[in-house]
Order: sequence, then structure tokens, then C-alpha cells
Amino acid sequence: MRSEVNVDTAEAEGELRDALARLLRERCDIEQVRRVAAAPGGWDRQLWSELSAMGVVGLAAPPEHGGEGAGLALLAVAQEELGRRLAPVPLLSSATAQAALLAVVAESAPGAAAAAALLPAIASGRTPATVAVGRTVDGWTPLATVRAEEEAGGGWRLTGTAPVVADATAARALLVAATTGTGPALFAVDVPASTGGEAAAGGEGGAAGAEVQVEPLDVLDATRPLARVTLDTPATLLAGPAEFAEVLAATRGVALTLLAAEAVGVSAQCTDLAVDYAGIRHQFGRPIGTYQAISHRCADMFVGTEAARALVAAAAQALDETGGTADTGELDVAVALAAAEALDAAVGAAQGSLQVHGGIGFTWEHPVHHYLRRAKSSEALIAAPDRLREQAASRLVAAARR
Amino acid sequence: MVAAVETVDRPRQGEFLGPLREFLAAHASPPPRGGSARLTWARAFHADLTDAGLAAPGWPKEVGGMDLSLPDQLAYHREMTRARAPRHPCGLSFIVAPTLIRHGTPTQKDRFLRPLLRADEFWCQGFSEPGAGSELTALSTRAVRDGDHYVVTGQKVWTSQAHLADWMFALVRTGEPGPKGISYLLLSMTSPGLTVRPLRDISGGTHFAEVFLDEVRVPVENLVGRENDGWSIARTSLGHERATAFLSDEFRYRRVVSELIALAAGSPAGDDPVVRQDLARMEAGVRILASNSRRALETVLAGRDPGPASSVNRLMRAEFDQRLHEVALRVIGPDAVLGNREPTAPEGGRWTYGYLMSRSSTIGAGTAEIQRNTIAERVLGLPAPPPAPGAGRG
Repeated sequence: MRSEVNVDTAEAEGELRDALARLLRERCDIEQVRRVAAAPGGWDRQLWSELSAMGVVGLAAPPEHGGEGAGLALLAVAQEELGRRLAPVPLLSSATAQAALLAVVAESAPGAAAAAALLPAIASGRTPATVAVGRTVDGWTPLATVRAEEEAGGGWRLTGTAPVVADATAARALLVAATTGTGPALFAVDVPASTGGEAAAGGEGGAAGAEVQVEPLDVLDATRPLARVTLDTPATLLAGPAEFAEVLAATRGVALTLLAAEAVGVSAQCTDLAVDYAGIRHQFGRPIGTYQAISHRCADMFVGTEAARALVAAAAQALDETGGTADTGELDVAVALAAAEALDAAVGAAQGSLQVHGGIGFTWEHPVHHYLRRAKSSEALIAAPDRLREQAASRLVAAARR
Repeated sequence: MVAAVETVDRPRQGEFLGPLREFLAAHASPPPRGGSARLTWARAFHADLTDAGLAAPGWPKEVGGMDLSLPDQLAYHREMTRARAPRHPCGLSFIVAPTLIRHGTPTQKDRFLRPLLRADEFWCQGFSEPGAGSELTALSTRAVRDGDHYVVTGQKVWTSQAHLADWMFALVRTGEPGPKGISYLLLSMTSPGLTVRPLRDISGGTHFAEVFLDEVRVPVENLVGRENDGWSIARTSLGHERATAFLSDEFRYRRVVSELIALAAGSPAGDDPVVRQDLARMEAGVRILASNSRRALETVLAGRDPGPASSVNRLMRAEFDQRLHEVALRVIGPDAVLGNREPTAPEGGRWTYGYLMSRSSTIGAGTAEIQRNTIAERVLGLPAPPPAPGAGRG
């Protein structure tokens, strides 16, 4: 168990929170979020530029790869603040892609040089990126529906469909977990500019015969666009079957931690909304917040948020300290428990907040349903909370049996 | 806690660890069987620990403490837990001690603190009364000044360890109704007019008692702080005590959860998916407590108020403790029917006994409901409910 105490971290965290909260208050109120989310696959380009300029996109990546080197602990704080405002920007996906590329470099995989070349553009925010993976209730797998074939000239070609890819409408670079003749592998694909945005269109890109089709899906949570991506395109090999599992695990760890951090933000905001409303809404001649059925539910939402935040901070710190690839057993436990707790807390707080608001909380106009949608959809985005707990317990019990 | 941070002349980081480890190695012995032998063993350990200058890691030097920095206090508690050193046999001593350090007269400090640390003298807490539980400021035990004595009459209840205690720190009414008429007194348990009637608790044991006070004479020099300041004195020192007590709890819970997982791993329960969900929740719980304590520490070291982290920690801890024992009974399965005096009960019956005792976690020192009120009103800023008609709300 760690016990060192770091005063600088607390200070840096406070400053980052304040700066982001200020920016998001001005640039990302709920009306702006609704406007952006109304367009299929929409995302907030202007907010993304501002976040990029602040260095938020590359906050965790080391300076030699174009990042700020501030670590996941701070990036998680940023993601929490974005979650609070449901900011429709591809930070989670772009940070996840950076984690994948860093793992490729760390593993000295065949595409290490290509990964290193791609990283600065993503870290700077110029090239939003995302990962296309197979989804199960237990977490990510290679895409059985995307085949990779080695071409005569020595390169690779990907064909097939990734049914659900987060932030694909924003992405200019796609990391695809595909199936080769010898096992799963990770590839990088350029997404031609004409493909992106809200339109579903094929593009020509740089290479001849490249087609990347991005079709926005109708989704539970429109503030995080998801799309179907159909590929028939040249691709760069990043990690082969020998390194694939390590790279995917490291990537998933970061993705889950950031998703959890975002869920903490959702949970915190839902709690605040409920507390504010409970203080002003009067029934039977007094604020409903004076009734313990309401105030205790708010207290529980707050406690759940604090608990989740504590676990997320610990998981992010653990990832920072090990670089994401060492002692994966303990790391996986820390990440799985944090994600399970945070995903549950967000759903609990969103449902609780809606209940405290009563009828108004059930309306389209009230923001709480956007938070409920985000919370509930996050639960299903990477892995289910109960499966994450099972994964943690399985490691703990196995370790005790050794 | 904060006072310790401000002290400048402090030992070098980690300097105490060598002597502490030496002491622990020299005192390593398995706990004897039987309650009273175990108590004698724990008393002897803490007497030696005090004499060696290795007790009270967070107290200032001038009152016999080690004046360690907060990170060093963490390291200290970790070391003690690892060595399975006996906990101080009188936990309540560490509620009165910070009060004496902060508000006591020099005479009171000289008289009481060292015997308290050595576990020569035990303390009990005279706060709750039959008519003053959650609403503590409604207490009615009266102390009337008579020359250089107070004459105290009334009744205290749920007084833990009263039958073992040498002294009681008590809140008594010296003035107007409500929080502003309360004083903080130290009473000898051997005073004429003071009667202890043990209450059997849920486990069948006698861990607490009723204390009847019939014109008990208490010297005025045993008043702590000023007359009628008792309520605020008790409240500030409770906050102080909790912050540091969490440090040692953190390592104890870590050990208990690992023991629970080991217990499950050695039985079919370890393969039960429902039990495994609970094990994961308990593992998460102990990590939350640890992480929150650390964040509270960081905040304190940065000179800010740990506020939410510590008030939330209290509620989490209480409910975690209960849940932990509920899960444990599910893990031992059919053997959960056995009582703690049954020799064939798993692990000496600690889990069934612990389960019963854990029901007090959400009652003693403020019920879980009162904790939620506190979080709602003081942390979230929700409005307090209006007082019931005719009731005085503190």
C-alpha cells in the first residue's frame, strides 16, 4: 500500500480543475451540448481546439511523444470535469489511442516507429483518434468482423466492419484490433478528411483504393457519438499477435480508468443538481431537502461519488507509477474496482437525481436525462460493473490460493 | 492533527522506524488465550512502549508523544499492524487525550496523560444519557458548584468499559438548556455516590454499563476548559481524534479484508459468483478508506480543510464494517450457526462475534442517520429540518 503524500499533486489538481471548470462554464453549458448532440455524430470542434491549446489532450503522454508528461492522475481529473459537463469532445478516445500507441512503443512491437510518429499529432489534438475493438460484457476483444491480410507489396489491408466505434466521426486516425491469419493484431488506419464529420461518406485519402466509411448510429447517449465503421483500406501494423494481448490490456486499463473518471464527474454533477433542487423546491411549506428521505439520498449520492473518486485517483496513480505494463495483476484489480464503483455511482446518482427532481426530471427539457443516458451507456461501453468485479475477485482469490 | 504539522523541531523522516522495529521484535509474542490474560498482556505492552518513548506518534513531545509528521504516523501505524502489536486496550483514552492536550491545565496533563498512555488507568466516556442519545445537547445530568467542588447528580448510559475504567470524562449541565450550558468534567470512578451497573450487550458480554451519579463530589480542578464551554470542547476534540484514528484503522481493515479473502479462497465460497461480487466490493471498500485517508492527509499537508473526506469517511467506515461481517458469515456458510464459544467455530468464532458487535458501528458515536444529516447539512448545505413543535433544537 502506498503512503507517500504529495502536496504538489493536490495543488496541480486544484489548478487544473479550476481552469477547466471556468472554460467549460463559458463554452460548454447544457444548451451548447444539446446543439452539438442534435446533429448525428456531432462533436464540439471549437471546444476541442481550446482543450488542445491548453495541453489537455496530451496531458498524460510523455514530452518525448509530444505530451505534457503530467500523468494519468491529472488526465483523470480533466476527464472528470468534462464528464461533469457532458462535453462532446473525443478526449476519452484520443487519450485511449495514445495509451495504445505508448504501449506499442513500450513493447517494442513491429509498429513502434509508426506509433512514435503518430503520437505527437494525436497528443497535440490535431489528429483526434479512437480505437475500434470487439465488444463483450467482459471487455475488449479483437474484431472478428475485420480481417487483416498482408498484401503482395508487404503492407497490410483491412476489410470488414466495426459495428460500434466511439468518437469515430471525429477521428482522423483509427486504431483497429483486427484478426490476421496468425492471430489478433493492432493496426493504424488514416481516416481521410472527407470521411469524417457528420456525413456518412467514403473518401479517397492518400492511398489508392482506400475506403473508410463512417456511419453515425442512433444512440442512447447522443453526447458521445458512436458510429459503424466499414473498412477496405491499407493499414499500418502496430502490434502483432505476440504483443497484442499486452497492448490491448494496457489500453483497456487506461480507457476504463478515464471512463471511470468521467463517471465520477457525472455522479458529482447529478448530486449537485439534486442538492440545488432540494434546497429550492418547496412542498408542505418547506424545502424538500429538509425531509430525510431526500437529504439522505443526496448524502448517499455524495458518498458514492467520493468513494468512486478515491478509487479512480488510486487507479490512475497506480497506472502512472507502473507505466501501465508492469505487475498487471494488481493493476487490473485497481482499475476494475475503480471502474465498477464509478460506473455504479454515476447510474445511482443520475437515477437518484431524477427521482429528487420528480416530474420535471422526467422531461426532455431538463438536463438530468442527458446525464442518465451518459451514465447508463457508459456502463455498457467497455465492460459491465459486475463483470469487472468478477475479474478483480478472480485475481484476488487466485492470489490467495497460491 | 493540524497542530502537529506546525511543529518545526521534528525528528528526521523515518528515524523512529529502527527503534520501533527493535522494540516490536523484542516484544513479539502471540497473544495469550483468554480475555483477562490478553488484557494484562496488552497493558504490559503499552506500558513498555510508553517507557521506550515509542507511544503516541502524533502527540507533541512535551506531553510524552513522538511528534511525528503525518506520513511518519502512517508508517508507524503500518509497522504496528504488520507486527500484530496489541491495540491500546482502552480506545476511549484517545478521545479524552487530545482534549486534555489542547484544553487541559498543566496539572491535568501531568497527572493524567502518562498513566493513560501506559494503560495504567482506563477511561470511559460519560456523554449519552437515557434522554440524550442522538440529541446529546439535551443532556440533564446536573453539576452544581459547592465551594471548590461540583456536586454531580444524574445518569449516564451506554458507557463503554465503565466497569474497567478508573476515570470518566463526562459532559454535565452547569448552565442554561442546550449546548451553551454544558461543562466537561473528569470524575474518578471510585467517587462516593457513583454506581456502575453493567449492561449485557448483544454478544452476551458486558462491554458497557449504566453509571448512576448521586451527589458525586468532583474537585473544581477537574473541570476541563471553562465552565459551560464543554460542548464545543468535546466537539473539536472528537474531530481531532477521528482524523488520526483513521490512520490506524486503515491498516487493520486492510488486514481483515485479506484474511476474509483468504478464508473464502480456502472454501467453496471462493468459487461462488455472488460471494465473489461481495469480496470485490469489500476489496474496493478497504481501498476507498485507504485512498480517502491519504487524500485527507494530502489536503491537510497542503494547508486546506479535509472537510468532506473525513466526514464521509466516518459513514463509509461504519457501514463497511457491517458489510464486511455480513459477507464473512456468508463465506463461512453453514458454520455461521456456531457461536463464538464453540471450539469448532471457524477462526475461534471471530466472525459471528464480530458480526454481532458490528451492529453497533452505525449507532455508537453518532448513528448513521445522524452522519447523513451532518453530510446533508454541513457538507452539501441542505437546509436543516424545522424543529418539532415545542422542542429545543441545538
